[in-house]
Amino acid sequence: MTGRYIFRRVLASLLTLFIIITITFFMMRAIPGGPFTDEKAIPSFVLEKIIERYHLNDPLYVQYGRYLLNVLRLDLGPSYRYEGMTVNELIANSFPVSFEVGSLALILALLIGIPAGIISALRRGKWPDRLAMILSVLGVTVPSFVIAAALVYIFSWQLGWVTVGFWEGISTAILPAVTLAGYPAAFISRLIRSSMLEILGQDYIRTAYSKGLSERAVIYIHALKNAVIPLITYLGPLTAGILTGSFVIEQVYGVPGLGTFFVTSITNRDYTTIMGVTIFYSAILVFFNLITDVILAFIDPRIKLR
Amino acid sequence: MKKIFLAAVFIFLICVVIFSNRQKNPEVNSETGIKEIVYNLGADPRTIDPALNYASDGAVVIMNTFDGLLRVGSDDRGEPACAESWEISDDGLTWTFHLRDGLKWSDGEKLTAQHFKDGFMRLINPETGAPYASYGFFIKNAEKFYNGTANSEEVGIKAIDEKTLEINLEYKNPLMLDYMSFPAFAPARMDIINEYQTAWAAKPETYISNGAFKLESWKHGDGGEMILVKNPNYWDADNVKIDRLRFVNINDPNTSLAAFRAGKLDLTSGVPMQMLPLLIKRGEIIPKPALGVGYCSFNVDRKPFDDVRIRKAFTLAIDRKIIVDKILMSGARPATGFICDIVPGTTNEKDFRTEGGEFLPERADVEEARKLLAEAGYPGGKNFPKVAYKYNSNPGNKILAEVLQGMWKKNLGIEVELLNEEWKVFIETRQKGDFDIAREAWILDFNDAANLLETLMSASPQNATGYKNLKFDELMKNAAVEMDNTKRINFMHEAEKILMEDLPVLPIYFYSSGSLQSKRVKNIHKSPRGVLLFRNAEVTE
Repeated sequence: MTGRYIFRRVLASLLTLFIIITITFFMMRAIPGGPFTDEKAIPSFVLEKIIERYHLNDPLYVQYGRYLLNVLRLDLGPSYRYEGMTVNELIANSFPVSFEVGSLALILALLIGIPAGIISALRRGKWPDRLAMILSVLGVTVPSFVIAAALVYIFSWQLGWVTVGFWEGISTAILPAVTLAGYPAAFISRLIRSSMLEILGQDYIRTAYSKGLSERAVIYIHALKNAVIPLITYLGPLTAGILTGSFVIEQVYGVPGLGTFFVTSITNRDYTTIMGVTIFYSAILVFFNLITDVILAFIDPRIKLR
Repeated sequence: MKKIFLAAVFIFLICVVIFSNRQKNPEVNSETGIKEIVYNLGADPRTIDPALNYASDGAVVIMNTFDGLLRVGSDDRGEPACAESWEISDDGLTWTFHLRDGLKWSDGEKLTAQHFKDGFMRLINPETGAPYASYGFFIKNAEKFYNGTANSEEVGIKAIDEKTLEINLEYKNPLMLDYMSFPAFAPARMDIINEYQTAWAAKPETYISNGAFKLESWKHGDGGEMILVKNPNYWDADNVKIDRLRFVNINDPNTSLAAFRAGKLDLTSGVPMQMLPLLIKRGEIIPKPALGVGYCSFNVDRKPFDDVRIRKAFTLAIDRKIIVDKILMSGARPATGFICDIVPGTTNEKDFRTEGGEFLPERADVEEARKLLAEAGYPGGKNFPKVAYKYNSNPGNKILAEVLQGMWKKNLGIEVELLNEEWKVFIETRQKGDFDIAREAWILDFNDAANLLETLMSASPQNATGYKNLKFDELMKNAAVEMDNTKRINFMHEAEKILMEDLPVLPIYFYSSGSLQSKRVKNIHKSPRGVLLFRNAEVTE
């Protein structure tokens, strides 16, 4: 049963990836300008040579077909922006950095978001709840570049505790991770708070109390187990997004991560990198969504694997 | 509760253990006694292959890792490098260069005249796709070889022996020595290039060079960095005083400034636009004239700018002084002609601009501008057709566009529409000539007026204005082969005069450059064309 379900989901995922590749490929080629369009006009005869070298003068469907075949071999092609580098190498170099910052941020978001959500649900309307909700509104609404600028100003300019602009491992990963964790932490706390409130009003909780269980046992064993279900649903796309980096945060802190390529590859018209990072991100997203669904099915018997 | 708490602590500990491995990164531990300069290169170079590069960030790397027959000296002209002497034949068409004794590549291999021949042949080989290939067309049969009508044997480059290189020219080249110091004319290791193709220049193992520094590591992308170390095999290694150069890629100007303040950067030109005036006022940045011009192009093929009176009216309606003093505040100078300051004139005493005089007023000449507009049939700007100013989207360009728009509105009564486009879209628009007025800027490759003036020759791929003046073309062609410097420069003065009468372009300001530099480093040569040379740099601590 489970095996068949996963098999079908994988097939659906591959189809999704194929559609993403196709749409991205043709949309990308519809943008005016190309990878070799530059300020100092290259004489047209030189440009032709370069275009020939990268086979960009073939009919679009031929290029598309060739690209698909290469993707099947997991070859994402040469970068047009970084002469002599392949997209595989670019991703292999930058993803570990984004992964490092991202996983730290994810842990922070969970460590802050879940307790904050539980506390505000239990102390509903009291000051801890108010404080947590004010902070979470801020966390959700204040854009990350504002948080980043504020943190740089406080910790780098005023206090001089950290330097930004250089990637030197864990010590330089903290500020970016905190910034990156802001939104998800706030979102998670609201998610947990509302689902906790809903569950605390349900019959089985009253039953648990009437059995004489302590408040702790009721909350942490009975209530929380069900309250985290919406969180797990959210964790799939969140993990995919957070691990693949953020353009703004990487720019502000000088983190050599993958997020930057999502934006610069487009401004550079670095076709193969645009495709490469899109496919990479989509694959991770699809993968985590699949994992999420499987986990949910195990946790919540009401969800059937169909 | 306890369980969750314990789990959280456990997860956190695991992470700390995993991440703490990073601390062993050698770059973090400051090794003692290593003299290092950290420079913010800005964007990560597209390529550092001498034949393929055409950007200034790539040129910074190439000019510090490669040495040509000549190299750029402290006066920004060519000075002897790998070649210690040379002779010119009486007809000026044969140059013989004599290489120094004991030249070596960074991997210890002997450097010979053949390597220079290989480098030049690679530049003009159509298979290479070199953007500056046409710079080599002064070499005999080079253009024919490029177009496939001559074979490589017929090209006028001969490695007579290991130490002698003879170059035969198609036509006389007054700038020969400057060309030979240009990074595109670097020697090449075909044994490596043939094996690794373009990837040779992407990895330190294969990026073998012959200059003051050699590539040790390169982490690509924004936030990445490139480490260059002193090349012990460099012929002039005794004069190279630092051990290591660290070129980092910090694109965000605020971050760059913060890193400089924290003492992490020795040199950066990345500062927030709004902070620049303050930093100049405090004396932290001392702006110097740079070899660049900010201007606009008119589309002379399109109405109404096909009428020179209208182009002139638009040009005179601009108050350049206000733009540089109140808007840019970067130390730039009002453009009173097309060629900027510090470009050499006929003698050493005066530069080209001083000799040529002022063609345009610093302040707006509103009266004259209105008169010309009325003569052209639009008194007070009435019934003037709808025109647009196009620029590529960035905050600085936007402010300038709005200021220009305001000046045209106030001084001519004409409402010019502002249209901005994303960079690559804008480049295409401009090259197709789909504009009325377009924002332009040019940084000179050589410290010579020809480099900018040539862009407006009718056949130049850079000429987007549609401007075609045969007299101008002829003067520039004369200048290109004139060996007598005074005569050559005078041809260009005449050419500039014609240009400033026809006004296919609207010069606005001459560039300046400034950077933040820590007090611990000195003697970094900052060329006005945007290239930095570290071979004589020192660290004092």
